[in-house]
Amino acid sequence: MPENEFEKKVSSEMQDLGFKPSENVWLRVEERIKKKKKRRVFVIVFLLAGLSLLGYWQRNNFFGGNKNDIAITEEQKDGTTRSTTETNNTSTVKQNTETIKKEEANDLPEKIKEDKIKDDKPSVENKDIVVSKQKTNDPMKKETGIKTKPQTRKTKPDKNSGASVVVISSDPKKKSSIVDVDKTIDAPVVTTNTDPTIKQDQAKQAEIKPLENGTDSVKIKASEQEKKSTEKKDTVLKAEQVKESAKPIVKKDDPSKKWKWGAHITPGISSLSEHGFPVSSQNDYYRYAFASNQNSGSANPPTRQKPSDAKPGFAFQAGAFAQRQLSKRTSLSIGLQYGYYSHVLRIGTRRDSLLNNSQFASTLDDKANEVYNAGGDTIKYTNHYHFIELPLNFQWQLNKNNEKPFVWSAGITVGQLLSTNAIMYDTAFNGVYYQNKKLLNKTQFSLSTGFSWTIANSKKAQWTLGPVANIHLNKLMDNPFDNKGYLFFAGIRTAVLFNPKK
Amino acid sequence: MDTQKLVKDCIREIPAAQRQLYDHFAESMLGVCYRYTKSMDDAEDVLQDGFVKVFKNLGQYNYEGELGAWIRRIMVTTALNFLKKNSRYNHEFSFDNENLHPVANDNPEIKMTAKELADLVRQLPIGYQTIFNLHAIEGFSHVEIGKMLGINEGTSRSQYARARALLITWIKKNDEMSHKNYRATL
Repeated sequence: MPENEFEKKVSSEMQDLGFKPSENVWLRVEERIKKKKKRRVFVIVFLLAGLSLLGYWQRNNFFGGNKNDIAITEEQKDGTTRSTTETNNTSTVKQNTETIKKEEANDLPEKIKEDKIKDDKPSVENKDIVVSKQKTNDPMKKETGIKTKPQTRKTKPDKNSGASVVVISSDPKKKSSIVDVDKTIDAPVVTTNTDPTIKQDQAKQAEIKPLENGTDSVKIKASEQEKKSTEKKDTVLKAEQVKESAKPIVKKDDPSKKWKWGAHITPGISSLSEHGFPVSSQNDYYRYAFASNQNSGSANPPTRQKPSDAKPGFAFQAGAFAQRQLSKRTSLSIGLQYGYYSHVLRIGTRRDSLLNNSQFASTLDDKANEVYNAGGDTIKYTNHYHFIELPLNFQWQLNKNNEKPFVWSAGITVGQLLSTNAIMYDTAFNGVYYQNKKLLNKTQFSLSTGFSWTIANSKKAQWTLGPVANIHLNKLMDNPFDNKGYLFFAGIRTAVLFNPKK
Repeated sequence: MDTQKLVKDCIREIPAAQRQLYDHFAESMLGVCYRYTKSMDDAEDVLQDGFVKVFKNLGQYNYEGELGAWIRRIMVTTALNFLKKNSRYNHEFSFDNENLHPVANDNPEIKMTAKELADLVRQLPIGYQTIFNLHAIEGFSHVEIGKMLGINEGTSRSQYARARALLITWIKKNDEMSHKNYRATL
């Protein structure tokens, strides 16, 4: 006879076991499900509010109509007086910092007054001035759903027995019975429709009682030792163990807890925006805008050209990442990716002759090899940026469907600029564009967020698609003459996540 | 019953579908809960907690195995958690092991109903009862049981052997008693 024949019999018998639960069970289940639903609605509303704010911020800063008209602003600020020699002077940080500090206090209030006066006059250029259960169970309570009959048989506890279990009838009016587990093991009589309850405390008392009488001290000691030794052997569901084994069923080598590998490609658009995520100070930009007016007094009109508006250009991110499940709905991913970003400038003709100008070499970047006029719409110049980036993202599954998860992700990315052909604006020589790598912040920090839908889910891989956005926290170009220095990226991310082999 | 549709409707939180799922599985699952607890009230509490978990995690069901088996596993986990959290079950039972020899190869004929057998299993000390249920009925290995309960594999084996021996003895005694009663009536 095979050893597990008994188990098979018991198992097959038990498959048929079933009882009709009381209606209260469903009512309580229903109540608890509804509570969870209410909590989820609150979270979704909160998320939508956050997204609306983000969208508003994006509209204002990325696609917004704020023009970067330093030259125009200057015209309005200081009237029509400026000498040509002044405009030819480069207004670099070194030259102007001290004078700005002195004059800021004096000039600003007057300029604000002038602004107010000018606001009354209709002007096309005015639009560009931005001032910017547990229910307590009664153990003796009659069980519902089952007809119970009392235990009628009672067996006395054996003194020599190591254990005895008191079987108490579910009907409080009836007597309890004690089941001894000893040499002559008394099998409890199973009466149909009986639900005996074991009372452990009483079982222990049955053991202790003869000892308390103190008839034989040797027996007491022997039984105590025996008790201690059996305690060590038979320890199941001890209170201490309960604390340690708080994770039932879940196996340690759960494949969902392993790191999964994936790759992504995210085509999109990028541009430079005026503000980083935490709205940054505009002091530098306005300071230098005003600074060039310090020596005003000449009758010559200003000829300085305004910087071009940065138009969005093509961008993409591509790379690999590793993702680890933190809980049923949350996960963490870390990756390595290449990021290409660009934006387009409309600029004037080339003016390389300035490279031989001693003033240019001494005050501007002597490594520059291309100079363009700021004014005009002759050349469509694209600034390219090549980054290597380390994104760290937290993902939160918003729905319950594991087949098609809908995930919100947020994280931070650290990037290092590898190379660029970026030209930037300078007020020198009436406004020029040239390469000035001194003003580039090569290490970039950005916040990223996005949503992803699972479009295909097989045993081997999971494909996701969704929008993402990156907002840089520090300025890419620390250019005092151009307030648009924060890189912004928005794209559609396609990712594949490979499931580990089980 | 179209399981896929029912599950999807439950995920969409359609009350009628939730009720249908509950009605379909509640009886058999209460049987599972009943085997792990000592009273029907406790069994219903476990059933309630279990179904809340089922509805909460239904999105994780991947349609690979039977839905009933998936729900049953949740019920077993819930029952184990209940036993651990509930102070009434956190008592240790000590037995005179020397007088209890495992009878692994003994294979008595079971002439009782499922409920009678379940009632016998429920009269085992809680540790024995739990391990017997997990190994003999659910089919978990002793290694798995050890992990679930935070005990050694060896402890699980020895506890199971004792539970099995005790149960077989009880079944035999019960059989003898019913024979005697039968003769007495003649």
